[in-house]
Amino acid sequence: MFSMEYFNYLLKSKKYLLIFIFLITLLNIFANRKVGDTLAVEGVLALILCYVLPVYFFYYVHDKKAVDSYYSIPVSRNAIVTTGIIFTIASIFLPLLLTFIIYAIKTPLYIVSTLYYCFMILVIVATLVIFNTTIYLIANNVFDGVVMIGAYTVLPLVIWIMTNYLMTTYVAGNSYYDLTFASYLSPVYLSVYSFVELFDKECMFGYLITLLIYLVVFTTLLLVGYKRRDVSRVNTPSSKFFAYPLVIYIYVFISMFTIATGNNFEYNGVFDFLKNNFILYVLLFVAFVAAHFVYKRKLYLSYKLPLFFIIAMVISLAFTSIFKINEGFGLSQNYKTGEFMRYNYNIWNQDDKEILDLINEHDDEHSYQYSIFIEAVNFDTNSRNKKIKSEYKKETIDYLESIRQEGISYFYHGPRESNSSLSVDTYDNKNYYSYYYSLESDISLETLIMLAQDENVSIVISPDNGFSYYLLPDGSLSINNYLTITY
Amino acid sequence: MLIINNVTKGFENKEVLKGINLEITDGSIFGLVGINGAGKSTLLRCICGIYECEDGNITFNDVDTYADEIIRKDIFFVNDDPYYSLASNLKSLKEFYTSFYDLDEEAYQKYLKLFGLDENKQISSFSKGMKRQALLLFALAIKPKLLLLDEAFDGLDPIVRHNLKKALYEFIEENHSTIIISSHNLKELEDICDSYGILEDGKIETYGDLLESKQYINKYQVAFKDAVDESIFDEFELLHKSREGSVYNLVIKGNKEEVVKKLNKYEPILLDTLNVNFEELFIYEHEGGKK
Repeated sequence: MFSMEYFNYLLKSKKYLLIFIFLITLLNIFANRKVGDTLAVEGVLALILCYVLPVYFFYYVHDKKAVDSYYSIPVSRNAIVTTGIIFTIASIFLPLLLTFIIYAIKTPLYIVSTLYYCFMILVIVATLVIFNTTIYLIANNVFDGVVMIGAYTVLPLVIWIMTNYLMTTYVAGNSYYDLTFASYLSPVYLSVYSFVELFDKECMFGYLITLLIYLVVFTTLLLVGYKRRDVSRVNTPSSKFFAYPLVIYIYVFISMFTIATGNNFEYNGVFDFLKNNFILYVLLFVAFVAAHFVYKRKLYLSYKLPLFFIIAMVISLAFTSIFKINEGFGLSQNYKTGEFMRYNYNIWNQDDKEILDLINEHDDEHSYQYSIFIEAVNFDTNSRNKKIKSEYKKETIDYLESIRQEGISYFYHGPRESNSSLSVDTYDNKNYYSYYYSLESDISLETLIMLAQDENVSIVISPDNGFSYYLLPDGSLSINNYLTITY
Repeated sequence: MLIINNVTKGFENKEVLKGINLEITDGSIFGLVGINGAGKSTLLRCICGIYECEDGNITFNDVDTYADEIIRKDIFFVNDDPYYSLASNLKSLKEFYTSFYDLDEEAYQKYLKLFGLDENKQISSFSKGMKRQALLLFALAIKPKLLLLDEAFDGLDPIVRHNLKKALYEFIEENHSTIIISSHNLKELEDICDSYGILEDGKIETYGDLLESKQYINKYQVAFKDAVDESIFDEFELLHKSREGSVYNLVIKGNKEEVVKKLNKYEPILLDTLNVNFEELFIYEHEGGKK
């Protein structure tokens, strides 16, 4: 599995490059920084090298002449690839390690912490190098290899953006999805994320385990793929399923879903939608044909292209429509519940006479409009550690939940233009989740007083004269000139 | 001994090698010939373990050349278009080969001088012929038990060709190695090879000792007093037939004495026998194979 002869050859033949990498990595050591600064410059350099070195060191697999030299030497294929990978990882990790140790001595760090950081850096570098090399070897030539690395690096982000767009458009309450979670789906983002948070986050166990899983999976894929690699196909179009075919079709599908998301068939009809998006579809089809040109290195015109395009179009439009009609397949009704919860209700520029009368009792200047801000919270927003054990009153919960249901209904059936909203924030000891609903409701003074009975609820009424009042449980107002709410 | 056992290899939808069987004894120089695209280079790449055979296997001294990398220490492949990185020179190439093979320094210096190459000059500045010589230099200095030369004489000037042939003779004599040379330059092959194989349509239909084969295939010029029914030639294994006036030019496979005896039955007024050279042998075998 490892060839000392090949390692020595790499060491001898790449010595100037290695010296260069060491020097450029160590160059920053003279900057007056500490470990807490997260080795940012070295990290970026290492990240770049994780992309560049696999392409450079494994260049030979995409060169027909070089393949003859490398594959006929008395070293097994497994040994060539394993040695090449170890050499690549070492070329990036060792300069980084040396830099880190110098920082650690300067700081100084505990030996256990130092070992932990070193291990994490090694895992991160190894994951990135092995992932990039595996992807690079899917292709049959250097250009395609680089394209594949780029495509697979960006792909999880594109999928995340598309999913996010789809969910926020069709699932009531969803304002965003956490990128941290999404990063678990991509070895590249997880590696980068881990490196960025290495010195800030206390527990990286989840990251480490996931990275190790990726490491094992991609090492296996690399070894099997390299051994089975058909070298007679070097410098031919990269037609393996996981090369252009998958990449092109998945990107087209994602683009189709992005265009289809937001369709309003029930209001404007299919024809209007297609007319409005005609240019986008034409551009996408041109890009689709162009991608096939890059893939096959010749103009490829087949009935299969428009056929797939139309099928993808129909599927994307059908799915998004069904998704919308079914109110996000029930996803709107679910939300993450946590130990901590907060409801925020906002309504702007209201003119309910009963409430205006109440305001004007306390106000010399006559008010014509007011805004209401209701914060119902069962945790202290200013201190994450200070838990308030009390719970909402049942009436409060029932009422706020009924508003939420109204918001869901309004999301699917209303024009979505509103001057009131409800947001629900939860925290499950790890992550914050936020759900946002536009509303079309006006709260009566009676209901406001009912809500004010709950000690977890703050109701602030702000008339148009610049003052703010708390609504007290007895229905009176208490002036508040310095209202600040921190989140 | 090199044994090629029922080897099949194809690319995409094209089957290039279709069940090749061949045995080459130690110490022989085997000429592998075939038309362009016949699969000569593919076969050589299968022999040295670059390509995996889809079916069958290849053993050298009873060891599978694809599965066992150790045996590849005894095999060296000189391809038709050698690989050199942009900045490499003979010294850096030497670094590569000495990492995996036992290179004979004395032989290296000897052939370096013979080929007149500059060790410090970048290989990218070499001519095509010089690049080929550079790889041949390492092939000869490494002294493999099995040397595979693809299009060996291409791009070499007559003096270098002469030197190379001389070097190969010495190499065989000293090391008792086996050499397989593929080339379109059959004149050169004829000078150097003792056995040959013709690769055609993915198979080696004709192979054997070159001298014996050349004796077994002969050209005959024959003329008859009166016009003859051409069906009289059906009893011969005819590879080629043409006619100029009353003179027939025939290439017949078979024992020369027996063929002459049979032709004499028809009382020819002219019967001359000529030897074929390797190039003619290849052409006639190729024509015969097509028929």
